[in-house]
Amino acid sequence: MKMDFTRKLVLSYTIVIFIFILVLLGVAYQYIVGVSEQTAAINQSQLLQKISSQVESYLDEMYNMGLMVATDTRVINMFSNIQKDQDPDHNYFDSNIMDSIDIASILSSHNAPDYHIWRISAYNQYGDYVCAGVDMENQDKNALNKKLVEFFMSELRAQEGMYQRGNDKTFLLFLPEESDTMSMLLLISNYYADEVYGVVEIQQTVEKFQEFIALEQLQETATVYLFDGDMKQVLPRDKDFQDLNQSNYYMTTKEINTYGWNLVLVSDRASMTRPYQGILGYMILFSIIIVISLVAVIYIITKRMTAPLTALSKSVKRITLDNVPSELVQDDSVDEVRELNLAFTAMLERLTKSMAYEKRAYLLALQSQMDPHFLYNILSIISGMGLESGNRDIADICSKLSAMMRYNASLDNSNVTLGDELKNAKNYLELMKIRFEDHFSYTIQLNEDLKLIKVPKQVLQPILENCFEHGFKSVPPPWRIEIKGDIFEDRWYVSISDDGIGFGSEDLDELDRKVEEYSANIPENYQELKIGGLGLVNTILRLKLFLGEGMEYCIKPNIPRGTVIILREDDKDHDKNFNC
Amino acid sequence: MFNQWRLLLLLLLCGTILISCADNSSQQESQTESAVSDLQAKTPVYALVTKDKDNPYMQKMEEGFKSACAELGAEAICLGPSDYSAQEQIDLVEHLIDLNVDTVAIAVNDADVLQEALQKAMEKGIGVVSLDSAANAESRMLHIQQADPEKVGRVLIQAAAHMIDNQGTIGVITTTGQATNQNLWIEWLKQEVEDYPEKYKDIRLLSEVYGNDDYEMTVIQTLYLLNEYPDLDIIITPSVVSMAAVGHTLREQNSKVLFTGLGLPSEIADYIEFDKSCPWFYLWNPIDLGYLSAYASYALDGGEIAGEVGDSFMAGSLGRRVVVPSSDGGTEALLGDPMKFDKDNIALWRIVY
Repeated sequence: MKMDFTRKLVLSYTIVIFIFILVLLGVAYQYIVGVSEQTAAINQSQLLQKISSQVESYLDEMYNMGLMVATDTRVINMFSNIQKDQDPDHNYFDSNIMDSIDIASILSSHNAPDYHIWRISAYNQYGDYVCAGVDMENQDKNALNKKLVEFFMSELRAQEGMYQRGNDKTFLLFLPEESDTMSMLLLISNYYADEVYGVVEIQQTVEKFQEFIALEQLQETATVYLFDGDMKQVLPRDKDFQDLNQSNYYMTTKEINTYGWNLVLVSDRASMTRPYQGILGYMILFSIIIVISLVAVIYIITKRMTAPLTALSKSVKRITLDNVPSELVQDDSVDEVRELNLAFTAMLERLTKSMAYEKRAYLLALQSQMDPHFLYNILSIISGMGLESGNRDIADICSKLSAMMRYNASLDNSNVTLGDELKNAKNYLELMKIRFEDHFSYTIQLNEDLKLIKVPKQVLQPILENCFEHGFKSVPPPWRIEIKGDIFEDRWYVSISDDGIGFGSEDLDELDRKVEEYSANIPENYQELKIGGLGLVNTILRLKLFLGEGMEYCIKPNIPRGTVIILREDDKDHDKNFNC
Repeated sequence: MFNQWRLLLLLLLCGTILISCADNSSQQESQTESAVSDLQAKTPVYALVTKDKDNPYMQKMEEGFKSACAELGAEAICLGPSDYSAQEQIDLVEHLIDLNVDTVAIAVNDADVLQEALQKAMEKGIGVVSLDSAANAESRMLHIQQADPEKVGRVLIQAAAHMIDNQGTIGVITTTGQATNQNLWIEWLKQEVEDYPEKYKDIRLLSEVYGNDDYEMTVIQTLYLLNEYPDLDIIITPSVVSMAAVGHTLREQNSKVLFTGLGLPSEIADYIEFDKSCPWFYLWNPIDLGYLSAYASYALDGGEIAGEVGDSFMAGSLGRRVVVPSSDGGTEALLGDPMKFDKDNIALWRIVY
C-alpha cells in the first residue's frame, strides 16, 4: 500500500516512541523485579527470624519444664528411693497409690494452670512410670521397655556436654518414628553425687507445635520446613521437602543453634514478584495509554502542519497548459511552504508569460507567411516566359529563388541539417553570383561528415546576407566569401570568411552586448527580433537557443581584411572565452 | 483511522466493565451459598444438670462443661436445683426433654428416683450420661467417674495413717447412706485396712458417721467426735462441704486434731497454710469432670460411642478415654487419678477452684 507523506511521518514517530517506551518498560521491569526480589528476600529473613524465635521459645519451654521437674527434689527423692525396686515388670506406682498420686500431682502442678505441655512423664529403667497430662495409650506404655530407657539414660550421660546449655542439664530432643510427638528428655539425677535415677520426658504433639508457631501467617506461596538435629523433617506434616523442585523456589535457611534444628523457608519464586506484577500491569496500561495519546496528538499535529504541502501537491497535479492557476495555496503559516509557494507562483507567472510569447511568436510566424503558392506560380510563369524567350538564365534564377523560398517557408525546423543549410547558402551565393557576376566569388569546402549535423534553419544565409549588407558595402569588389566546414580537434566547425570591411572592436563589443541583452530578455525584446532584422544577432540567438550550450561562436578579423565567423561545437569545458 | 482508535478504546472499556460485573456476581453467589449451608447445619445442644446450683464444686463443673461445648461448637444449657432436690431434678429433666436437647449430663441427687425421667429422655433419642454422682445403670448410657473409687478409698486411709505416723485413732464423716460414691470409697477404705493388717495394726478406725453433706450437720458430727473420742487424731471426710465444715469446727475448737479427705482447694487452702490442721488432701478437677462429660455427650450424640465397654473416644485436651465396666453394673469412663493438694501447690490451685 502506497502511503502518503502524513501517514509515513506518523508511522515513523509511532515506531520510535513505541521502541522507546518498550525499552523504558523493559528497564523498569528489570529494576522492579530486582527490587522486589530483594525486598522479598529481606522479608523472608525477617519472617524466618521470627519463626525461628518462636520455635526456639517453644523448645525452650519444653526444656525449662523438664529442668523444673528433673531438679524437683521431691521427684529426685522419690526416684532415688524406688531404685530399690528393680523388677522391670512391676510399676512401683501401680501398687503405691499414695506415691503415685503424689508424684502425678507434682508433675501436674508444674504444668498448671495453663497446661501448655501435652504430657509430662517420669520413669526409670525398671518400668516404674508416672505421668501427668494426656494419658498414655497402651501401646505407648509398652514401648517404654527397659532397654529403651536404659538407652535414653546412657545416651544422656554420654552426651553430657554436647547439648549442654551453660550450667544447665543435658537434654535429648527427638521425634520418635511413627509418632506425632516431640520429646525432650532430661536425667533425674543427684547432680553432685553423679547418680542417675531416671528420666523426665516432656512431650508435645507436633500438631500443637504447628498451632503454636502459627504458620498460617505465611502467605500461601511460602512454606516453612523444619528439620530436627538428625535432618528429619518435623514440619510440615503434609508436604515433603524432597518432593520440591528446588529451582522453582527461593530458599532461606536458619539454624536454631541451641537445639541443632534447622528452618528452611521456601517461597515460590514467581509469587515473590506477584505483588509487583500489579504495578507492572498498571505500568503497561499507562504506557499504552501514553503511546495511543501521543500517536493521536502526533497525527493531528502532523496533519495540520503538512496540510499546506498536501494542498500544494494537489494543486501542482491539477496544472495543465490550459489551466494555470494564479495562486496555489491559501495557507501562509509555514515559512518553507510560503517560500515554495512564492517560488512556484513566480515560476508559473514566467511560464504563463512565455507561453503567451510563444503564442504570439506562432501567430507572427504564421502571419508573415504570405501564401507561398502564389509566389511559386508567378515564378513559374516568369521561368516559363524566360524559356519561351530563349533565356535559360531566367529559369535558373527562378528555380533557385523558388528553392530558397521553399526552404525558408517550410515549418519543419528540426529536420534541417548543415547539408541543407549549405545547399540553401549555395543557392543564395549563386544568385548573388548571377547578380554581381565577376565581382563576386565564393568557395564552399565541406567535410562530408558534417552534412548530417543538425542546425537551426536559416543560420548560414543570414550571415552571408550580412556580408553583403555590411561587409562588402563600403569595399570595392572583387569580393570573396569562403565557407569551410571541417572537424578540428574532434569538434566540428563552420567558418565563413569574407574580405569585406570587417568588424571593428567596438562593433564586436556592441554585437556581444546585444547578444547578451537579447538572450537575457528574449520575451520582452521579441518584438524587435523580426524576421530578417538584425540578422547576425538573430542568427546567433537562434543558434544559442537551438544548440544551447552545445555551440559557441567566434568573430575575428580576416587577413588581410574582412571577418571570419566561426560556429563551433562546444568543447565541453564550457569555456566561453575560448581561443577564437 | 482515528475513528478506529476510538472504537478500540470503547471496546476495551466495555470489556473491563463486563469482566468486573461477572466477578461481582460470582462473589455474591458464593456468599449466598455459604449462608444457606450455615442455616442447614444445626448447632447441637448439650445440657448439664448439677446437684445444686450454688455448690461451688458444681459450679466448677459447669465451667468445664461450657468450655468443652465452646470447643465443640455446641450450645450448653446448665441447670441445677436450689437445694439438692431430686424432685426438682426430675422437673428439670422433663423441661429439657421438652426443649428437645441432644444430650443430658446429670449429677444425680438420688441414684434411682430419676430413672423414669431419664429413660423417657433416652427413648426420645436424647443421650444421657451421669457424672460425679451416678444414676443407676438403667438410667444412663455412661457414667463419668471422677476417679477409681478403689484408689480414692485406699489413698484416703493411707494418707491419714501416714499423717499420724501409722498409729492413733481415725474418724470418718461421710455424707448419706445413698451416696453411691461415698459408700464405695468408705468400702475401699475399710478394705485397705483389711488388706494390710500389719500396716494398720496400731490404728483404730472408728465407724463412719453421717453429715448428710450438710454443713450444720457435719459441724454437729465433728463436735460429737471430738467429745466422744478425746484421743481422736484425725478425721477423714470425703465430701467438699464436709471438709469445710470440719476444718472450721476444728479451728473454732482450737483442736489439735488433723483432718483430710476430698475438699476444694479454695476452701481448704488456709487450713493447710495457716492452721496446719490439714497436711494435705485430695480431689480431682471438677472443671475437667464437666469438660469430660461434655466430650462424652458429643461422642454419644455423634454415634462415636454407644456407652458399651470397650468404646473409646477423644476428650479434647484430656486425651483418649476408654469405657470400662462400673461397679454398679453399668459402664463408666474415668477422669483419672485424684490429685494431692499440699503446701507446695495449694497456693497455685486455690485460685483455680
